Amino acid sequence: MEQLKIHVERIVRPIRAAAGRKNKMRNELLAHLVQKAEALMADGADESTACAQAIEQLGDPASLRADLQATVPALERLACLRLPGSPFLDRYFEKDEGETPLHFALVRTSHMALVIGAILLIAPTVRWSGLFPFRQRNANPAAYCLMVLSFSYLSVVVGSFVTYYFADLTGLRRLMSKITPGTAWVKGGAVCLFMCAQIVLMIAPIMLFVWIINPADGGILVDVFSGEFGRRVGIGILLVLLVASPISGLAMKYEHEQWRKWGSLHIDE
Amino acid sequence: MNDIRGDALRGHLETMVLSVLERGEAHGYEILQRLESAGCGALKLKEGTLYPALYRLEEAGFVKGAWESDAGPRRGPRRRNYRLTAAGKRDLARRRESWRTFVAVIGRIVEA
Repeated sequence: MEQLKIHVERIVRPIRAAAGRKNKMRNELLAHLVQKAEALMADGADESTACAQAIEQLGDPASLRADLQATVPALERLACLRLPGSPFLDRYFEKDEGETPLHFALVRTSHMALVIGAILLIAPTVRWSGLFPFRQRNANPAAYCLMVLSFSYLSVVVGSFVTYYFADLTGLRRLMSKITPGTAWVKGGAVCLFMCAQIVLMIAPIMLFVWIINPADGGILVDVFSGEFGRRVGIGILLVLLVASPISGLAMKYEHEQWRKWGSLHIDE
Repeated sequence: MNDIRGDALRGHLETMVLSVLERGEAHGYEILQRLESAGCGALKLKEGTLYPALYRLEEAGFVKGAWESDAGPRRGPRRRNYRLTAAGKRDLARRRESWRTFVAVIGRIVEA
């Protein structure tokens, strides 16, 4: 009956629809094919012939896929549009066969560096607009801010590299991967641990740097992180982790079950 | 009797599904069996086309689907049973009326 599952997956996987809707299609088509094949076997066909006939009578897969796709509401179709790079995000915590921890960490860090670099380009605008509570104690605040931002960027990149590298070495990556089984609590805990490690490894070097260059004053980032703003950010991060971890855990457990049932099937896409 | 195939059925499949569901709720495979037995073997339907039709009817509120509680000793996943809703019954009545008009008008022309 494996060939029936593969046929169903070949029809349904490319459809742009929410996971729940696609599962409904998969289960219904599979239930139909299994019943059809069993009816054909009851009439004397062997399993392989019965499966092939059931598949043939279901109709042309491309045409059926198009008909099923047309039943998905336009907004849902749009929301499930495959953007460039989405296959990479799907496999974010999976390592290619033979890939070293160093390569795994480097590739992910370079992507993160690009994203954070783009975000940091916004920071000077915010800084000079006067919306952010920076204190201008340095003789040349623009140069000072640029230096701090550059080091922050470096810290973030180094911090994420260390996190990714150790996530792989310690097995945390495998726990977060959709391929690995695990309870929602274990997966949620792994995400929480990974996020905490990343935040600490990113913020700590920035604080250290600011303390080194200006220990008497504490520097603008120390002001920001140790003041009211820092406390609010800290509480915010804690709340996000407390809420997001169980939700992520449940989502990752569901994702694993889906992968085990359907995603692990090799279809010729 | 000549076979009635795919294209000739387009546009009528939903009406036929609503009609067979009037006899009671059924899952996809059973709907097909009812259609085939009602068509006396002349109906040659690509079986997969039933499901998009069912989803359209469900989206429109004419049928309501529910997963069966247990697959039982049968192999494969649970099946989804569909039943006609009140809106579906009203829609079926409208479709029947329009079908009768269609047959009367086209019949007069073709048979003339």
